[in-house]
Amino acid sequence: METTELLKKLKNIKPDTDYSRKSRMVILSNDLKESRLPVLSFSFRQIATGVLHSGWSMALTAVFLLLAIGSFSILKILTPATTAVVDITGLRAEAQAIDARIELTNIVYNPSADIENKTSTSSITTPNAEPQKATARRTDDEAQQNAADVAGSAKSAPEQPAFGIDSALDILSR
Amino acid sequence: MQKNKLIIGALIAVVLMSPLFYRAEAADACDFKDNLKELLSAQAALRANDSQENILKELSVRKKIISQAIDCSIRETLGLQSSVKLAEANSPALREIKNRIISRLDEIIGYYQTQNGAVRDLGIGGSKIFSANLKSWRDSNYVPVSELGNNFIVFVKNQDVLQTTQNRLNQMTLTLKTLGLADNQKISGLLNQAEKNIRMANEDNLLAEDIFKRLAWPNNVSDIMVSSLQRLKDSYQNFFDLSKEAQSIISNSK
Repeated sequence: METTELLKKLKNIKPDTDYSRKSRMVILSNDLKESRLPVLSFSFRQIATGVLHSGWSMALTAVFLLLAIGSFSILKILTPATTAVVDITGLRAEAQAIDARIELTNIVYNPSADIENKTSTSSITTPNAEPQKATARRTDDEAQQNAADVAGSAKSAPEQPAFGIDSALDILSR
Repeated sequence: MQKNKLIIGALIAVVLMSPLFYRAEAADACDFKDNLKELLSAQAALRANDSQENILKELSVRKKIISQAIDCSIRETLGLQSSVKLAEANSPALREIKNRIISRLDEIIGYYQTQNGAVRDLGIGGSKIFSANLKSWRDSNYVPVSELGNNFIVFVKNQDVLQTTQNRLNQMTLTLKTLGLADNQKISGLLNQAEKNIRMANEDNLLAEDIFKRLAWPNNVSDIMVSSLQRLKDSYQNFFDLSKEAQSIISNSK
């Protein structure tokens, strides 16, 4: 019987009013924190995460694009049509341009030869024809033009006057 | 009216400043054939009859030819100077050489101009000595500068060939690396050979530049320039071989 009564008494136990109020406030404030903080962190985090995610997405897209373009060009290079380790036509044109320069250097005006020859004038036609042209010649057409110029210069040599300054002075000194 | 005169004057000035004009004029002014024929005829007449008239005739023709020779020499020098001025020297060292050659040619023109004044007082004997001296002066003064000047023009132009070859080597090296072929023994051997050829071409080029810097004469600058170009040509042979080799590797790997 005592136990039954004791249990009945326990049933009537109530918390201290002050403790009850403080506890409620703590619980409520926690609720508030929990309900507010997620809202705030959600917006910042969402934005930051969104930016990060979109940034990464863009970067990844760029990488994929680069890979796609890169692999495309490599594939292109690898095709036998291009074999672009080298552009053979361009190579040939440049090599021809060098040949033309060698010829030009060999036929450039040599006054000593003129003195020995004593029959032709100290011509200024051959060497001067070339320097007036544009300097850079890198294309096929230009290289061919270069070669043609040299050939033209060589051909023009025999048209020089037969008696030049030095020949005339030689004759006058006798 | 005044404006038209100015335009015509400007056009004449442009034509006179053009090297083409000097070349064309020099070609005309420097053909002595007719005047030398006249001299031979005057000399024959003097041998037949040593009259005062025939003496004066020969002297007159001689003076005419000497004046023509001086005039032609000035035109010839101006023509060369114009061409040197047009040479596109792309480095300070080349520009300095160019200016020195231009300055030497100015001195030569000055000398010819002073000689012109002496022709009037010459006799037949004096004209012979004068002509011999002028010829000798040309041989030791004009000829060296002329040869250096003309070779320098070609040398300046050759610089872009050197650059083109170097660019081509860089391009090929990069492409072969991209293709993963640069480590191939044969390919790397050919690349090394091309590099070596270009390096030797540059060395020859520096030798030639040094000759121009010193305005050294006589010289073998033409031979050195040809040697430099020949080395560049050899490097192109390497490029062709590289191309062939790379092509073969690529087609075998498929």
